[in-house]
Amino acid sequence: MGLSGSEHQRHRSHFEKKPRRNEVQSFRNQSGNRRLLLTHTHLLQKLTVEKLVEVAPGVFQLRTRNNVLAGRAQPGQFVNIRVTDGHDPLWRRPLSVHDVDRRHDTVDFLFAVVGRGTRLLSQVQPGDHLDVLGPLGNTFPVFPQQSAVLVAGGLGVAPFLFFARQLAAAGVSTVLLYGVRKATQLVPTDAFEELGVLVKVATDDGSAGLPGTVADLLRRELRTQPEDAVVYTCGPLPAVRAVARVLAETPRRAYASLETRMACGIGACVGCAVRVRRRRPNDPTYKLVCKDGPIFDLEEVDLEA
Amino acid sequence: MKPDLRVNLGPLTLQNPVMTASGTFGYAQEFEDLVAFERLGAVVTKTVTLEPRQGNPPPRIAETPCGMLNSIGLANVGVETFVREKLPFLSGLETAVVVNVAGRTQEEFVRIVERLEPEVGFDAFELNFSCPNVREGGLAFSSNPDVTLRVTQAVRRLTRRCLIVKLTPNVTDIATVAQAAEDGGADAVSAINTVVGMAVDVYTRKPKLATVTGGLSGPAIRPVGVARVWQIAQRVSVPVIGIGGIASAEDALEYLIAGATAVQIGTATFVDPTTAQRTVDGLQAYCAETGVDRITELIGSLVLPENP
Repeated sequence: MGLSGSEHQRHRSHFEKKPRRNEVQSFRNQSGNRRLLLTHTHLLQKLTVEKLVEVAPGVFQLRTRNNVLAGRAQPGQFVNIRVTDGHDPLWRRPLSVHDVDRRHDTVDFLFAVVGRGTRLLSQVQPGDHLDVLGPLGNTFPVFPQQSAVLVAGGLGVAPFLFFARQLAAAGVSTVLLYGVRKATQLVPTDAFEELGVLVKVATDDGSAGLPGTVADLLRRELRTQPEDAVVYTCGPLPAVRAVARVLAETPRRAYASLETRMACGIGACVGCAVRVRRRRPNDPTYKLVCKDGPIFDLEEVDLEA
Repeated sequence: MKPDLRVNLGPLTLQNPVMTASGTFGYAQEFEDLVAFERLGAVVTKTVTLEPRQGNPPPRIAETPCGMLNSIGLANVGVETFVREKLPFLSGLETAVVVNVAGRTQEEFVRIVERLEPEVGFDAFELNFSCPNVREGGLAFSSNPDVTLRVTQAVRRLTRRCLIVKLTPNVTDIATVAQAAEDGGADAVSAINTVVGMAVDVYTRKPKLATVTGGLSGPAIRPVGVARVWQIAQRVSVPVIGIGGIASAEDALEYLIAGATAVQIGTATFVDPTTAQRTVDGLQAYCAETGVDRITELIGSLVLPENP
């Protein structure tokens, strides 16, 4: 993900005093129940804007502070950010977690101004508060003994910095393949390099790195990568499709972080459906990017649908 | 003294008039971590059908000014899985539970209500006669007063639970359809379901939804909903449940004053999951501030101009 009763009288008990949910939670925690219970005090957060930096034309790195989100977010997850107190634009905007600094309780996001919602987000000021739902979604799987190839199309680079930190900590040899249309759109990759990640760039117009697409970079990269290397990709659907085609020729274990239109982010609206390949007749035809994803086994999802 | 927010929907008493709207609150468990269910008047489930439904192909949703289009296609787990996996959680909630059901034919409505009626753990049925996004049934039901009357009568014979009929605004005369539901034995009618709408991507020239048209919801449709509820309330004597674009207590109050006995919060929940409970707080505050002892005093209290 880039941006993107026939108990007719059962109600009698409505009027009895019931413990509030938070009290129930703390009781359960004290009793040693290991199930992770969240309450709105966890999932709905106010982030404080620390700074906003335009890292490439129209591309912004947003640094926010919130100890709960910084403590809980895992690589690959996203948040759903409210961009206005009003009703237009209506939906929150899903943004993947770009980076987390647990020592300083900061959470970074990377986004491009592509419409009204992101334009509003690009106008926040330090000290502003952002209403955020998260962290949401699943996480990237880590294979400590195998090398990792991160394949980013444009803003698809967003979730990979936080993930690269996790891979570096696990001692995984990591390459970032990063494709954009032209050099000016490149977001600085120093932070990846500092983690020991080898960065390779491709531009459609040849203004930096390999002339071509990130799929071309991947085709070339897989010639030298071991067969058990794991590919992770994120970007616009055409880029992810192109990556899937390269992997059809040169099969590798691969995961994709998918972007779709999304309203609620918590599996209630059922709007962010993605078609999946069914293994058995009774398997579901669709899965939800917000709840089942955003990260899917590339073999599982049917991107051509 | 704390204002009395209780309202009655036929045999069912709600602790307050704020319900969730079908299709926007899942089977409640999705909101376990976000919502204090015991604060709500009622929870309404996503539509349940006899067989599981995969739903429509994507894209299923599109954002529009102050609203959204959807064409989910009644994706749901089917009644057997619902009873086995979803109803136990719902039955534990400290609030009224309404199960929304749909069928493609009168026979299917009868079969699903027969299947659910012996189960415990819920308080009411809401009949979805009005989904615009399925080929069969759906709109065909609530756009026809005769069919509405017949199906409501058939279901009424099967249950003593509160029976709600949900109506579509995509008709010429919604009050006549509401009247048919009342004549068929409905304890309440709810309105409105989504308004048929369409959006086009001008660069690809493709419709923004795979099904071309979908249902419009959100604050954009609130004035349509309020007008429809007002029209229905003039005609029927059963309670009307107002739905459409409610995102605050003030929005809910518009519906109550226009004639609604209760309201359902839908799309706003996608943006702020706490909308329904905030609405309850707001209604409480409004009643306290304006000297309203019982919220039922507000129902249909619209002050009309002398020469409308």
